[in-house]
This record gives sequence, structure tokens and C-alpha cells, in this order.
Amino acid sequence: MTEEDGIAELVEFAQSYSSSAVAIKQALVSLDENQDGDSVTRVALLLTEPHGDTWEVDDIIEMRQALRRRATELSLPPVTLTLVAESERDAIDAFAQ
Amino acid sequence: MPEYPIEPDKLLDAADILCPAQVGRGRPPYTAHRRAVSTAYYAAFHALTERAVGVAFRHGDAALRQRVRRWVAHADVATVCRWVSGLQGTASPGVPAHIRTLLVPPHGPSHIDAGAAVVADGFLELYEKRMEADYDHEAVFTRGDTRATIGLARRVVSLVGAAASNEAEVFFGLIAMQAQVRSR
Repeated sequence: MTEEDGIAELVEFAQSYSSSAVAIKQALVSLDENQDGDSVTRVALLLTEPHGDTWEVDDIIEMRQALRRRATELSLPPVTLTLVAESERDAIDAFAQ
Repeated sequence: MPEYPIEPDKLLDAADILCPAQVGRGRPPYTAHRRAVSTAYYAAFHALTERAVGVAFRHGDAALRQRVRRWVAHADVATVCRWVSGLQGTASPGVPAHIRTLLVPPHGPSHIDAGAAVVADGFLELYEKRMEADYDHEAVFTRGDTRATIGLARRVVSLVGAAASNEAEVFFGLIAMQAQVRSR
């Protein structure tokens, strides 16, 4: 499997992820290098608006672990998330550039 | 003599001030969001160094522990967290064989519990976010994401402070073992 295939599969996995509390409307995935020179998989997620100031910690932990596990299965580097609420959706366009 | 220790809970409060739960309308203060994320990371980092040094110097006084905490490097914590996450399947499985055998013996109980797994994954996320916040000019810090990062740091600090299992002691002990004696 190529990196491109892995990225495509991770996008598909993210966009089909569902829980009772969080729905992913859009996912963008890219490979990058962090400040230490290690490879990372950057994942930006457009999520439904949270009820309060942000989403529940446990829901995000569960979602992050699911994405990290899937990325590992796809031989992609560790995942780091950027969460974007629908009210801030301009930010997802910045991530896509 | 006055003391000015680094306190994880106070760092989290500072992160809350930089990115409060309640705000009015207007353009988000992105620079403040970056500082909030970095500050939240440091809360988690210092909570972990406190426990790691507490395991290694159980009867050391406060002054000794504070001095020794400076020896624990960010990469020391990250390395141990990568081992734990790798063994849980949530990070690349490049775990050295001797560490794998140590933490997940083939004929014995695992030395990783659910709390350590959440702390390890959480720390690694915060570690990456802190690098983005401090160095990556292209990184985006939305309000929701920044609040979520502070929430994650608060959860990690809480779990680290409350951890009392044998597995937690192994986790903190390994971080201490990764650290090196330094001149500082």
C-alpha cells in the first residue's frame, strides 16, 4: 500500500467515524515532519458544533485513539489532530492550502 | 523565603485565561491560542516530571526533587509514551524488543493499564501541539481545538496526579530512568 492509499483510507475511516456525541463532517489528512524531524500524520477534522465551548474530553480521546490505531494499521506516522467547529470552518480551508 | 514553584494546576488556569470558555464575538486571538496550547502542554509535562522524580526519590525533600525535575527532558517523557502507545497499537510499533518484553511479558500480566495508555496518548498529542504552537507558522488553532487541548491537558494532569497503581509506578519509573544526571 502506498502512502497515498493509506491517506485515502484514513480519510475514509475518519469520515465514516461516528459516535453518539461527535460527527465528522470533513477530514483532511497530510503527512508532515515535526520540529524534531519525526514524521507525523496531520488530520484536520470539521466537526459538528459542540454544545458548550468545546467537545467532551472523553469523546475526543476515544476518537483520537481510533484514528491513531487506524493510522498505525495503515503504516502511517502518528496522528495529530486539529479540530474545527462548523462555526470556524474558514480554518479548515487554511489547513487545506 | 518566597517560593515560586511551577504548578500544573496554575498553568492550566493560565491557559484558561488565554483562551477562556466564554468569549464575545470577533476575530479569535490566535496568538493567545498558541500560548494557551503551549502552556497546557507544560502543565502536563511538569505533572509527569513531578511523579517521575517522586518515584525515583521517594524520600527526597522538596528542594531536592525540584532540582532533579530539571533533569527530565521532554524527549525522555515522549520516548516512554511512544513505547506505551506503540504497545497499545495507537502509535508506530517500533518498540524495542526488551521494552516490549518488560512491559508486556509473554507469560505474565501487562504492566500497562488504561490510565497510562490515556496519559501516553494524551501527552504525545500535547507534545505535537506544543511544537506546532511554538514553531509552526502554518498551524491553525481554532477556539474549539484550543479549548479541547486545554481539556486534554487537564485530564492528563488529573490522571497523573491520581495514579496509584503498580502500572503507574512502572510508567513514571521508566520516565525517571530515561532522564540523565545533568549539571543544571
